[in-house]
Amino acid sequence: MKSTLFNMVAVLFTITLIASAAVGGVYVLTEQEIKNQEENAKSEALKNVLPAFDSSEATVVALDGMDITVNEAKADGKVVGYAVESMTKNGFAGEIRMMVGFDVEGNVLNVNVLKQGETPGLGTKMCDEGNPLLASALAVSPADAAKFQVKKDGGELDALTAATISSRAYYDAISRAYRAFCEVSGAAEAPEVVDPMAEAVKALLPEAATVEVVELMVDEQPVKVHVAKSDAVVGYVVESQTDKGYAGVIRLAVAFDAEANVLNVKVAELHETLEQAFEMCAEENPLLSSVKSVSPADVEAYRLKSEGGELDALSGATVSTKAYYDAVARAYRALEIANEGFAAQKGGINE
Amino acid sequence: MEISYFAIIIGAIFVNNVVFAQFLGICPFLGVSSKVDTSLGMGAAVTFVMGLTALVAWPIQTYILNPLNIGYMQTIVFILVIASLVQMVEIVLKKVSPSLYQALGIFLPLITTNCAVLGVAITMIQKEYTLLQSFAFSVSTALGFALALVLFAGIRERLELDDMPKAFKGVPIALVTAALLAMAFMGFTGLV
Amino acid sequence: MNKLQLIWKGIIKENPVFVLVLGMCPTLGTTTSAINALGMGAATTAVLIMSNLVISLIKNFIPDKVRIPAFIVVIASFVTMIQLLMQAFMPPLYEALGVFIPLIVVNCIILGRAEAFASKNGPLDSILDGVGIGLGFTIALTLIGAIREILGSGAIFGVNLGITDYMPLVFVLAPGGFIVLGYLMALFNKYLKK
Repeated sequence: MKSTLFNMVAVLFTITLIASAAVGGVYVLTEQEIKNQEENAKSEALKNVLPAFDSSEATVVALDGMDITVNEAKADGKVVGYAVESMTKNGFAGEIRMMVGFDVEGNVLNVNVLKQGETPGLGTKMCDEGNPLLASALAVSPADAAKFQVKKDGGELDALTAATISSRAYYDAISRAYRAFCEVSGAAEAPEVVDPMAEAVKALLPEAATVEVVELMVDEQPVKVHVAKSDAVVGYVVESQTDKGYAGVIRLAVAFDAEANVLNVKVAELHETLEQAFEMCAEENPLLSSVKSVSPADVEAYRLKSEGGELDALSGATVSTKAYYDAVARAYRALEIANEGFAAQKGGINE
Repeated sequence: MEISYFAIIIGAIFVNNVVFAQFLGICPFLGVSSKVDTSLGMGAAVTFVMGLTALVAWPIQTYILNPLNIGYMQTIVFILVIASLVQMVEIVLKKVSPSLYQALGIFLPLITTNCAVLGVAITMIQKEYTLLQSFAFSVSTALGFALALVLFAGIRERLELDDMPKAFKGVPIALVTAALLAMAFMGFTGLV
Repeated sequence: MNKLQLIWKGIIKENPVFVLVLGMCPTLGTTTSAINALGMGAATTAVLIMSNLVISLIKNFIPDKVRIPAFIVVIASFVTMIQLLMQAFMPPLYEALGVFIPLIVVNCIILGRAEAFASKNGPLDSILDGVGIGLGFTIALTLIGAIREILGSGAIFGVNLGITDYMPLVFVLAPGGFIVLGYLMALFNKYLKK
């Protein structure tokens, strides 16, 4: 056909019109079916995670900025369980949505992953029947927040091989489901979100009569010095942090003896994405032994070996390693500053 | 949780590289990557078009398709947007900057059928990015594409001279090489 | 040309994947398991047959200059229909194939056949061409999917073969797709392409 302007416009317009009409027609035909499918998928998931029930009622709770739907299931007018449609945004590929079934006491009955985009063959194992994540979630109660963490983070839960991030996200969604369950059912107190820093400080502080707390800013980052005293100073615990981590802030609790030697370090907050970086959380690790033997006061030695100093690094996680040493050094400086403060105070008031 | 631009950019260039991890844009990847020069040209043209596509497709989805409740027309509308955008870029470049047109012109028609462009437009809507995030995502995906192309061209220029079984010559050996590069890119897993 | 030959050539002599090297993205992206690959092949074949048919019917009414945009609209409409139908009746497959379903639009095979065959031939021949090329594509995809699934997860069409413990996972990940396709293409070159 000849390509005149009128021709071209008219033909394209007609084709588009017919095509849109056809697509619209198919849409109208399938619309209901698509909705049904979604409903079905949900009610299937409900049946899958709950004991037999005849009616359910949904309540929406907002937790951590996410809408969590709690379905209260009843049989013969008696509550038999709760199915919580929970989610997390910490998956390896973003969102993971799941349906978590609880009995009336808050024990996990079953988990049904609704939506995930994890790596096939690794993270996707979370959808398989009888996978280690589900087994762990059934065995450990989410009410115990300290135990309800992957083993690597100090808890009692198994993780999938080579998919720690997916595993953490999976449990994160279940904990959130449990908190939503507590809120709606009122059957149990929601577990307090443990403050890992408070825990770490408590664990590190030596026995003492009094504990003074000084809050400082060092390099524009907040640092808290806990001074443990019984007559004389018996030790310090410093809450330090660094913003030089690979994925943001790392917070440490650093314990010093009275002479400002590093005794121990506990990692309270860590967002690093590389598996290797998590070694710094271990009871014994090369970073901890390095800071125990090399004082931050010794500027020459307090450097990575690769830069001429004496500090060890975690292989493959140099940025995280440096951040760790940075936070410890900041704790040390805070201690110095605080001590000068005490000395000045003494001079001013006592003598 | 706010998604940081850093995470989007590094994710799109390295971790979820469009060619090696998402399998998009393979046709131009195999077709154009035999010389470093042409790879650079293609990479630049794709970056240009992808950036523009994000800026046009996002408002269309947000202000036209969603309010009218015809999100299902997305595929049709987006492919038309991309096709007309490529046409327009071609016409404008020809008029405004003949030298740039000479450099990029021959690649432009190939871009309409580059599934990476449509793929990125659909993905950015799926991920519910804001306009600015979509733009960052599109441009860095395109940069990831350019990176893949240039890296691969460098290798292929040498492969040409190598001795190998006849059956492997051309595309098969290119695919096996791409597999090795994909493995290397898997090393970025967990970065973001 | 014999009608049967029309189909046969799409499977071997002009196999879209192994010989024409078209449609590489879905070929690599959706073949992590045999069933996904088969689904993708079937969806593409359906679009190909329908668009070939419609284009061969309306070819005489389309002005030459707007040929390509017109073809694209036709193809995109069929893709959207298939997308809606899959969402309604095969949700698991729809989820698994994800973005690759709308991307059937830019599968070079379909536009290529519209341009090279359907716009020059009658409706019956165009349908047969679509069937042939579609089958060639589907067979190639399913073959790759099956090999990757067996090697990577020790299963075939989701049926566990009982050897899951030591499977090289890499075959279901991205590099495995490239390797399997590369080797299959080399084998095809050696034994079938004459």
